[in-house]
Amino acid sequence: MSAGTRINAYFKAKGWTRFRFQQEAWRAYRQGQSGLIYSPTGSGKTLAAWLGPVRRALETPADNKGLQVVWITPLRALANDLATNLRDSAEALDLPWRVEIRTGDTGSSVRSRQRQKPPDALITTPESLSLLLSYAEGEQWFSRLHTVIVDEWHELIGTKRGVQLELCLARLRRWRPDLQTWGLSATLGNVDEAMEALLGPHSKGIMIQDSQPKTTHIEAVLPVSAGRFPWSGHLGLQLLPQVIELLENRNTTLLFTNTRAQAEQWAEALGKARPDWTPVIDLHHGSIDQSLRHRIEEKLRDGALRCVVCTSSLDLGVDFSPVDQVIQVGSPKGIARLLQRAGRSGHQPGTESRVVCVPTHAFELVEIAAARRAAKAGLLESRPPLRWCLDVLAQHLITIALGSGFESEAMRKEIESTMAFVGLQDMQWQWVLDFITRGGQTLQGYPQFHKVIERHGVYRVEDRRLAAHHRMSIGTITSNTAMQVRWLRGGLLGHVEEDFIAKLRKNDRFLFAGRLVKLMMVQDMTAYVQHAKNGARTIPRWQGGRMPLSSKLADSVLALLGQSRTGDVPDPEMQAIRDLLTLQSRWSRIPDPSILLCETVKGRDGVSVFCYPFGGRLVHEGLATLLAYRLTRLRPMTFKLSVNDYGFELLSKEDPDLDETLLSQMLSTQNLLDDLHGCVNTTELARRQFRDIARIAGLVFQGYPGKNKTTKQIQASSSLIYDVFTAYDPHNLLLDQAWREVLENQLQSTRLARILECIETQTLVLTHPKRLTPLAFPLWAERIQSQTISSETWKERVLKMIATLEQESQERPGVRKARVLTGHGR
Amino acid sequence: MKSTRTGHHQELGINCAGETLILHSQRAIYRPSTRTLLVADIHLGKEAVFGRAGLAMPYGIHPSNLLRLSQLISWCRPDQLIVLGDLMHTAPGPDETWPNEFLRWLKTYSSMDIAVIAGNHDRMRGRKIFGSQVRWLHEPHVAAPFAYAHEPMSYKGLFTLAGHLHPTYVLASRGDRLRSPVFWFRPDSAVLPAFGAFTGGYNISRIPGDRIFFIGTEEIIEIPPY
Repeated sequence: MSAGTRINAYFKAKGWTRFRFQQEAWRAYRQGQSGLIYSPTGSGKTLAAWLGPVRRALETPADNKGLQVVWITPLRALANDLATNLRDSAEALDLPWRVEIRTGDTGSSVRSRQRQKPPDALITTPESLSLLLSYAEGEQWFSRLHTVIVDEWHELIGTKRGVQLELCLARLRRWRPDLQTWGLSATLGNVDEAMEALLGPHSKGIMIQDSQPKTTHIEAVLPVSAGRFPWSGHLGLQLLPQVIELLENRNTTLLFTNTRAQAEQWAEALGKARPDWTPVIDLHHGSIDQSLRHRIEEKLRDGALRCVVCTSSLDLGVDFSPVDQVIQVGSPKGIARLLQRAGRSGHQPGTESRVVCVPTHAFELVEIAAARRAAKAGLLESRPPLRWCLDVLAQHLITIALGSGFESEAMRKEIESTMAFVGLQDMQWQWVLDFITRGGQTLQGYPQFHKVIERHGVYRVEDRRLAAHHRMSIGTITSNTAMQVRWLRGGLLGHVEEDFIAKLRKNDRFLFAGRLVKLMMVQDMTAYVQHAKNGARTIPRWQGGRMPLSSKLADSVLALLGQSRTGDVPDPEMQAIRDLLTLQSRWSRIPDPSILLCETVKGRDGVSVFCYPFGGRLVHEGLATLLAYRLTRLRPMTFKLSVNDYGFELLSKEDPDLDETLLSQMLSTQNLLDDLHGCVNTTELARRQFRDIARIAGLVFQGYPGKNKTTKQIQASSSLIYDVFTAYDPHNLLLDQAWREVLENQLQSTRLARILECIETQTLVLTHPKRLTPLAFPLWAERIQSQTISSETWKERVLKMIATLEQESQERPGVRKARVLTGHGR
Repeated sequence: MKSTRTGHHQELGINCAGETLILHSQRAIYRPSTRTLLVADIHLGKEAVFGRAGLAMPYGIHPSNLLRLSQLISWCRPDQLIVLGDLMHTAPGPDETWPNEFLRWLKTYSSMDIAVIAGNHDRMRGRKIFGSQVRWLHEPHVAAPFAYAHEPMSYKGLFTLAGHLHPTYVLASRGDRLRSPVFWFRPDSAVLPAFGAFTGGYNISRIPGDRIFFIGTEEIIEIPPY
């Protein structure tokens, strides 16, 4: 029986249809092509990619030995399920392949066995692949490799892990020039670019799309009385009764939230409202201990749960067939993201998926309606691949120097064959070589940074201790600084970002892993907690909440608001907030794509300028900083800034006397980059970014597993690292990179420039409402977390603060009258 | 209180224990009556410790600390330099260059009396490398009406000048917030800010009767009680 017939029989026996895109993929594979397969989740992409090499092995048994297929997965948690699936189909087709996993979780005996005798197909992560390249026998090991399949490429593209993978693939292609690379991706706005990044620029590939995209229904839970629905907030618990009703009507629901804090709150609220559901409701997020998460996933797969409250931790891959409903709490943030979450239900080819959105404040209703319209129109976000990450390059060069070693010119050609480094400048290349061989200009005094040694034109790592250090650091791209959370009396609860714990004081209460706990002490990267009784508590804000509204969705929101100005919009969500929009229009104006709405409001704390460009919170952070910076150059002033996805607020004590003309001038694209540099320099952003870069580039050694003290010492002083480098090694290209990353990732300078260009074509409308408008109110509520921009000198600021404090203390009864500033001797 | 400016720095004269002390914005105190320059917590070699832990610190902190010290010396031309503890951060490692650079620096000031109150970081064998060029003093060292110490203490009715805490203060009012190192004067003692360029800080809270001098890059401003 031919291989093709066997595959037909296999599909028949399973009762599956062979989709057209699968057949296209198999055909293209047989022709020796590479490419990208994209379609919504759960549509048979795995088999489309896998059966190509399987059939090849069945047809040419003589070649069938050694490691032939590498399957890259972004999450090691997905590896087990994947291995089962791949093994099942290989077995059913009588292909005696060993399919094995190699990730950070793989034990050392298995690892060394794999190095002795490689499996036929290997499932691994980008980090583990990189590690394999650091061994001298790498070339030999991969000598029979003919196919690499990259799963969930949309998750990796646009990240440094993606860059790392691009570099590793370039190395594999150098060893195996005929290597076939296939990517699997969800639908993106930039699939062409995604394929180019995967296969390398200038390479030919074939794009295969599932021609029958499945339909997704996007609905909203509408508040009963829209008038009393909150104008701001991020919990959305007012709609709990409706959500419980939704849960009752279905078997298994995934309830997605945007932040872990929100997930904790919802799990607690559901548990309180329906104590009888306690055994069938679980909580799943990135801070929860991994073994616990695995148990929840298993129960989910068995259909034993009514609801799992989760964050992006369940966004990816695994097939939970019993899930028949998806609920999204809070802003969907992006169209592709919402569709992907929706795709977690009806995770079978052909079934339709449905997502119910729960707004947490009034304007999110607009976002939901806008997302539905955009999804219908096929507008999806792009994920642009990263360029010129010198930190990743430094790490990769050391990896290769550890393995086979490299020669400068040939290596540079290999590096430039990736999209991430095409057009790398001589100066950058020389700098990186200098950095890995001599530690750059300023680290010459430290022998531990002379990692790579050049002899007769070949770069190698000779010191075995350095080699061990480096291998341990390879995985660090993904790890952020996590602290353990433990019971004081012993027992691990999970992990949480250091930033969060740093904001707490002893005895502060917070919800963690579904329990109310209080912080007892922090020691050696561990937060010790105890059970807490009910009472006031902090609602923790984890990083997840900072994700900006995508520009596609923001544009769609603005367009929808514009439509509501001129006519009645039939979407039920828009009907629900009609009263609120009327209020906005009465007090100020409803924004639309042709205008930029600004409002000034006088209040107790000073004069506020509100501005609504609808650019997403990161762009607004940049824009607010930029505007404040430019205004402060006109005359010395101090502003307090706050931002959200719709706009930003500048608050100052004195009236900045703004009019339309001045505001338009201040928001021009002229000197954008220079001005941004000018103000980025004054912020903490670059400092934080540099910390990660320093770690990836190997400037900071994270320490041996378990030796947490070193890490802590390093973290404690991390804010100093950036300052010290800026002062003593200003030409370090990694500093440059930190700036670029801040500009691109944190401030989203490209998007910022686009918004500014757009503003130049818009009419600026400045209104002077008597009180906070519905659009301004959420910004006012955010103010507590905001930052300060000032052009006043240190001295002016100090004197001004002293004056305010003295004045306030005089206003307070019972406080002793302040002494004059230029005091007298004792 | 008299305040003067020299170049980009500011000095501020205050009365303390019947004498005049001059506070300098480079985080030092000059005592004219005995021609003594006082600094605290230089923490030489701290960057090397980070280097040993795998955290790269570029070269240059060390020379800049010494340069600042030299500038202070040429400003007041003292007979005596007293370090109020923690001259060094740690014992020097085998291949580190900073001890030799410091020795060379010491030689250029061989006519000046350089004395160090042994701080908690100095109580180690490594300090012997500076030989007789540095005079080690026990805590507290009496120079009436003052006592020099590393850790703040009260001593026999004398006014103590100390370091150790690296005091900083957070000034915050509506809409603005600044944190800076401070000179912290208590009724019976004063704590100097850390001199070293690469040292952290400890936020103090004010008790009635305290005087706090806030230090910017170029200025000193007293924060009145509020």
